Amino acid sequence: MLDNKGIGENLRILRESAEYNQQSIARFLGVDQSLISKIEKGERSITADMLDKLASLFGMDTVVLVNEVVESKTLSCAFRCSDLSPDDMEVICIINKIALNSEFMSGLLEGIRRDR
Amino acid sequence: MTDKATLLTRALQLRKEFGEDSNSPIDIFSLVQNIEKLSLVFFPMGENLSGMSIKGQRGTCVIAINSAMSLGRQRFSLAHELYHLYYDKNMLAICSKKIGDGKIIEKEADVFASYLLIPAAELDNRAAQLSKNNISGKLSLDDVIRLGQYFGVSHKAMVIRLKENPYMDSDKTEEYLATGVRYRAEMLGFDSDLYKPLSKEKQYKTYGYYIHQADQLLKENLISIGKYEELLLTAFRSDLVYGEEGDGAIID
Repeated sequence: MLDNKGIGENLRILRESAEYNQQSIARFLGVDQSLISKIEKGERSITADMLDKLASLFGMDTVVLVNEVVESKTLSCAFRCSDLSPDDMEVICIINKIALNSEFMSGLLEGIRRDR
Repeated sequence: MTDKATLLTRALQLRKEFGEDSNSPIDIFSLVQNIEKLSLVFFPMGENLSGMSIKGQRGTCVIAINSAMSLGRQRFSLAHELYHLYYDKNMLAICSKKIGDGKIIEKEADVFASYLLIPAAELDNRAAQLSKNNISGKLSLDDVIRLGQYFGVSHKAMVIRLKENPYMDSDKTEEYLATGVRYRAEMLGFDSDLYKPLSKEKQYKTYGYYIHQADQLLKENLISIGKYEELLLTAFRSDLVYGEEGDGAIID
């Protein structure tokens, strides 16, 4: 598993590639912006709860987020993501979860095809 | 920006792939069910978003539509998301409710959606026919409603598309855009479903590949019943887990 610094770096990469600013992430999580800044620098650890929420916002598996060095993802957003409201961000999380589940199920199904 | 001729060609190509001709109105919701590995999610997304599309590493894809919008607008939104699916290299698209807004790819997707649902040749044909009956030789509000109904798109999408049409009186565009047409459409004898959102219980649903995947995994004993139910509930299919009220004999 990555240390605080590694996880913080992952979160920064994902946040910046989706063009969210620290403020919008803080608003979404209901915390102060300074905490987001500290988490990204690895000065503070992140709670499991916050980690799960951010993983679904970025459409990542939490396990990947804490174990692997992520690459930036490009996305096409009609908005500046920083302008999205916390409610909009919740919607993105919900849809991302469905997409992640579909990928997860594909992995399992590919597994049985390989075994046969 | 990709030029309009290319977007028109892409729209025609996709119609062909779906097995549709170049002129008729299409039932886009049923057509997308033929796209392999696509899951379609209906979810009320509030005031700002119209839809999202997500492409996965393993070839799965998800299109989500804001089900709180009118049915006509949802059809447009689905056509818009198809552009992201086929022609956007990004893996995720988050789309605004405002038509013609935002980045270049969003504008392209809007033009593509309009061409896909409202084929150019057929629109010109019908607009010419309808405007013949008017002294002005231009389309009346009622004609615009008739066109919107024929192609199954929202009034706004129809007016925006007609902006550059020779049969449209350009002075009337703003007026037509600002007019609520539900009542007028009913008075013309049309069903007004196009201007309404889906019923509340249908606003949360997932269809397509996702449901099939969960079913296959359960049949193969790769997931427990608990996990199966969890997967379905995450995708708002409590009806498949608990059954639906009023299930029973329906003569079909």
